Amino acid sequence: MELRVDRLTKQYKNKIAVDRVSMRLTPGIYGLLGANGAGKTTLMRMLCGILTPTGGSITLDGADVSQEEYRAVLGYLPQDFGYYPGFSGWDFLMYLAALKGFDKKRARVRCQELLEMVSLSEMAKKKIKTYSGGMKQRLGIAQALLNRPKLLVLDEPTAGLDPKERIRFRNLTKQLAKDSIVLLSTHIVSDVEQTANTILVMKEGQMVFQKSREEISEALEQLYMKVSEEIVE
Amino acid sequence: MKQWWSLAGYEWKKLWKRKSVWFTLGIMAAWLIAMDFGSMADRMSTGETVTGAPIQSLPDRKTYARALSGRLLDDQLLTEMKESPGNVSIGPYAAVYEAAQGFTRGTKDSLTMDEAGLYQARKETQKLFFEAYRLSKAEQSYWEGQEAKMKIPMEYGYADGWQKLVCWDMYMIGLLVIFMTAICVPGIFTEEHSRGTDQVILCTRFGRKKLYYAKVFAGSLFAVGSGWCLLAVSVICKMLIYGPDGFHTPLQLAVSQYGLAISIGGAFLITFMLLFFVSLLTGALAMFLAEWIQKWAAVLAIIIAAASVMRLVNLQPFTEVLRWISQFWSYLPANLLHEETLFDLRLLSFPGFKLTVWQFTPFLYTILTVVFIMAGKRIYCRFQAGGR
Repeated sequence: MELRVDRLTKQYKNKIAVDRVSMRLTPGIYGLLGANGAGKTTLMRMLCGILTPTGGSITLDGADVSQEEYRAVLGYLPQDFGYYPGFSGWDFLMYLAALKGFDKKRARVRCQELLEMVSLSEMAKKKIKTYSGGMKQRLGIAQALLNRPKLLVLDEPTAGLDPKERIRFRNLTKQLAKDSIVLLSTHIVSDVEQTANTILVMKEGQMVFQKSREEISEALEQLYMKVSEEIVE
Repeated sequence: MKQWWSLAGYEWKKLWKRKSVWFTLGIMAAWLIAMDFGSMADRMSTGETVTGAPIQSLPDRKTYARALSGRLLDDQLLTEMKESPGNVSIGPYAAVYEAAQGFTRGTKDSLTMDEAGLYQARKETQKLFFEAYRLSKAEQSYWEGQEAKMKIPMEYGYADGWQKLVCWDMYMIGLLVIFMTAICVPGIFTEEHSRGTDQVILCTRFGRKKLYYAKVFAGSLFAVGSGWCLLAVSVICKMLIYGPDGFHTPLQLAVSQYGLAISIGGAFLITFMLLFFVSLLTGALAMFLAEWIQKWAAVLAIIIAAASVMRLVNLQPFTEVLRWISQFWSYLPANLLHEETLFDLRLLSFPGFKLTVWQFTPFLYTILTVVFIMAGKRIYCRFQAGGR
């Protein structure tokens, strides 16, 4: 399985948000680092098909990002995860399950499984507006995992999670990465330090660094600071 | 297919989770009930108009009018009416006098007429409408042809309930449906953008085309269903206050100039059909605007402003000069269910046939509904989650 991104570009009137990014991703965890405004979220939105690139292409095993078969194996947790306050956690997951093509029977089983996985079983029937920030984030993670995605795109997934939940999340992503491509963007370097197989760094719209974890000898935080200040060849 | 119905069910659930929907429907239904029972309370005893003319009480009217139901509006009935003692406006023949006065539109007193004179007066009144609306010779000949199918003398029937529904309530319900749709339906689309759920749903397998049609179905069902709910409230109130009598009474006893031989009940069924199309079109427009503008308040403001302009601007003075503009104006949703539009004598001419306003607008509204739905789909499926 391979995600091919070829000279992907997104240009607005006065700014190039993503500048000719190319990469080939195979199953594993990819930690995407970068300063605010580097283009991480724009890149992720294009990978999820909710932002049309100005140039370039994205395919997953030959399926273009605009096709239904691409979206069928995609899971996405956006940075500003939205929800319906009047829905319960259960309703929300069942609704997303229907959107992802589950029939009711399979959806019930899968939703139950995921709510247990993210420790929200007891809160399932309560309205989302009563959830804490961390609970909402866990619900967001659960919806991204509904369809056992082959491509999982997570934008700041650990924001709002307590340390215990962050560890649980890391273990979960390690499990998923055996068969899936997990692209994780975060400002918390320790999150990717312990889980990511490959580190990607974006700066001013360009992918300035892409190496496997084994090839990096120094501490990730130091490397990130160095890369942010200059382009490493 | 099952999944589509499941999605439609969730959209319906999302819609009804909003408190504003319940409040709006409740307030409108309560207003309709208050209007009906309020006006009934005013009519429980004999009163006066602002000009001092007497008005018969509702109980008296119902009793006397029901006693005359089934009688032909002929020489015998007219003679009885003339010879009845006291003020005819509040006496046993008040309802018949009112119907007969409608034939002359107040230009002559029906107490001075016999049967032939009364129906001749009706034809002359109709001719006045022909001139006022600048009907062509072909249109006039169409209506004269329809007159030949009319049963003369007409059979009087007490039909106050159905008459009020057709000549006033349907118009009010049409406006309420427009306001109701403007308040409740846009949120089906705007909520996704305001809450940020658009990013999640649009990258799912069925989050584009299938979900769009599910949303449109839920919104359309709400628009049509809320119209029918408000209509049901109005019908129940009218039947309780005035009774269900007179479904088969000739429409001409309420709308004298109209040339088609249909009953008041038939006219009600026509307006019921038109209400369906008004609701459908308003719903489609609201959803299109919602996805285009993505701001609930802006969509609400546009629809309410448009409906207000449609009602407040009167193109009647321009009928002679700008016939087609005033005719087009009357086809707009806020005006369609008004008595003047429903029983407009102006026709739409096509090669080989002519259509009345209520025959033509279902086709027009269906086409416009499809246009708005397809335009909205194009915008929805091309949504870009940028700039956030």
